[in-house]
Order: sequence, then C-alpha cells, then structure tokens
Amino acid sequence: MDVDLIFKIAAVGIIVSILNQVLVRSGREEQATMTTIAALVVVLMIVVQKIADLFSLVKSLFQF
Amino acid sequence: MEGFVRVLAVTVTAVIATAILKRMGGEFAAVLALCCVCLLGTFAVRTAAPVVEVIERLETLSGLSPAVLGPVLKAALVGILTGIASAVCADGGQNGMAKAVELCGTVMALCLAAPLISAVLELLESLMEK
Repeated sequence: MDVDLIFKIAAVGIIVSILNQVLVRSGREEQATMTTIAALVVVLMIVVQKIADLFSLVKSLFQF
Repeated sequence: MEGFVRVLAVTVTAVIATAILKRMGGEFAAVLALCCVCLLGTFAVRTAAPVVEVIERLETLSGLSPAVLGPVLKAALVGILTGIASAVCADGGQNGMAKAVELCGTVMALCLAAPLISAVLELLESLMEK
C-alpha cells in the first residue's frame, strides 16, 4: 500500500493553504486562487491515476 | 494480519490528515479521503484475489456454468463499489449525486441479473410445457 501518497497529498494541502494565506494577506487574491486550483489539479491527476489502477485491477480480477 | 494492521494505520493517519486539512481549507481534505478510499479499495481487491480463485474452483468442481456465478460476483462488486462511491459523494455534501450513483448501481445490478432471470423464466416455461 502506497502510504507515501497520503503524506504527499497532506503536505501539498498544508503548503498550499500556507501559500494561500500569505498571498491573500499581501493582497493577491487572484494568485492565491490560481495556486489553489493548480495544486488541486496536480493532486487530482495523481488520485485519478490511482482510481484508474483500481478499476483496471477490478476489471482483470472479476473479468468485466 | 500484518496487512490489516497496515490498513488500520493508514486509515487513522488519513483521518488525522483530513481533519488537519479541513481546518486549513476543505478542498484537499476531500481529495485525501478519496485517495485513502482508493488505496484501501486496491488493497481489498488484491487481498480478495485468492478468494475469487477459490470460488472459481468451486464453480468448476460443482459443474456450474460460468454464466451463473459470473453475474452474481459482478453484482456483488457493483454493490460494493456503488456503496463506496455513494459514501464519498455524501462526505462531499452532495446527497443528490449519492442517490444518483445508488440508482445507477441498482440499475447496473439489475442489468447483470437479467440473463439469470431470463434463464429462470426459460426453465419455468420448459417445465410448464412438460
């Protein structure tokens, strides 16, 4: 089981929220939003890959 | 047993990380929960592989057609996956989507069971003709 992935996502989330706070406090709301969205897309790409792996495993095992 | 302990450790870690992320902003908490569900699901499916092999062996030994047991296994799998997807949707606060996923899962299970139902009907027809 890939436990590192959970820590990776948690770390990205914490870093992005800190960045978000810093950018919002310095009056750059647009950049803060874009940073959050970019990080979300990156994390989602990783998770989607894992979901695809799960479904291919299910397909091969249960002969769908 | 070692695998189960690992599952517990991963789940507790993910719950704590999700709680932290929820306090800092909710977007990443949902993704982390989804990732944890995916990892645990992969582990469960990998662990279930020998069980499926045993079921297939039992099917061969009993002389049952693969057309009989296949839909049952698939329907069970559809039910499990639908339950997980519905719970993930409900966690994200989307109860409408959760209900829609449940509806789709039910329809899929019915579609999988349709060949079995038609086989039973054919059997009944042949019995009635006799």
